[in-house]
Amino acid sequence: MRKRKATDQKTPSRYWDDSDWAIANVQALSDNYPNQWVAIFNKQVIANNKELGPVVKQARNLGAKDAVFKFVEQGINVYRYSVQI
Amino acid sequence: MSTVIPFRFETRYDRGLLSAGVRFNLIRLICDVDFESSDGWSSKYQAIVDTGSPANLIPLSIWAEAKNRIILTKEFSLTGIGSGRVSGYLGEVTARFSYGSKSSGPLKIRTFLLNSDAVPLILGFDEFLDRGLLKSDYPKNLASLKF
Repeated sequence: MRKRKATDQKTPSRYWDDSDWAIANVQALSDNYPNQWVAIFNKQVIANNKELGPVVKQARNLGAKDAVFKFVEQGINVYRYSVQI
Repeated sequence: MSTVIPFRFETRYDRGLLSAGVRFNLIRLICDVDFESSDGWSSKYQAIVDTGSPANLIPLSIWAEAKNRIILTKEFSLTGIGSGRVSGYLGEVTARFSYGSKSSGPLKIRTFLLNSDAVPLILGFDEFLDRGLLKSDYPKNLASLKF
């Protein structure tokens, strides 16, 4: 893992520890929470759902507003989209 | 004065291919981002930095809480992401990109504001990657965007 300098004043260093942990453990997250949003706090998944809204709500209810929120992919995803207006 | 925002590589593998005897690394570039809201700044989210995406894509729950400006009021539909068809608007939000002590400071970005929450947060070229110098060196585990 890359060396990280101190965090900015408003983001707790715990956030960056959790952010690094999420990246280091993405395989396990992908196996357990495929194509879901997760909230990670203190190196644990505290909420998960296919929709982001319920994950944010649950994390806030648990007092973890500054959790890491992350969409966990499964398999090979190529986002080849087209827009029709 | 330039700012360098470190990105991080995330590596996993495909279980289906592994069961067929092929270890296929699935590598993503990740960047942490938060958004200006009516009461300060939002929670932080891990976004996928997608060099194949011409645009930024933001799920509903994020932009609904962010200060946003709709650029085109006509709703568009977007296929190929999420489950089937997703609708949304072309708009603008203010974002900060950061890692540890490094932060871009507030930047306005044009983005598609999606009417779905079951989609990832994607940062693409328009008003993000096109703003700076992208470095990506996977063997050395170094990636960044220099504004």
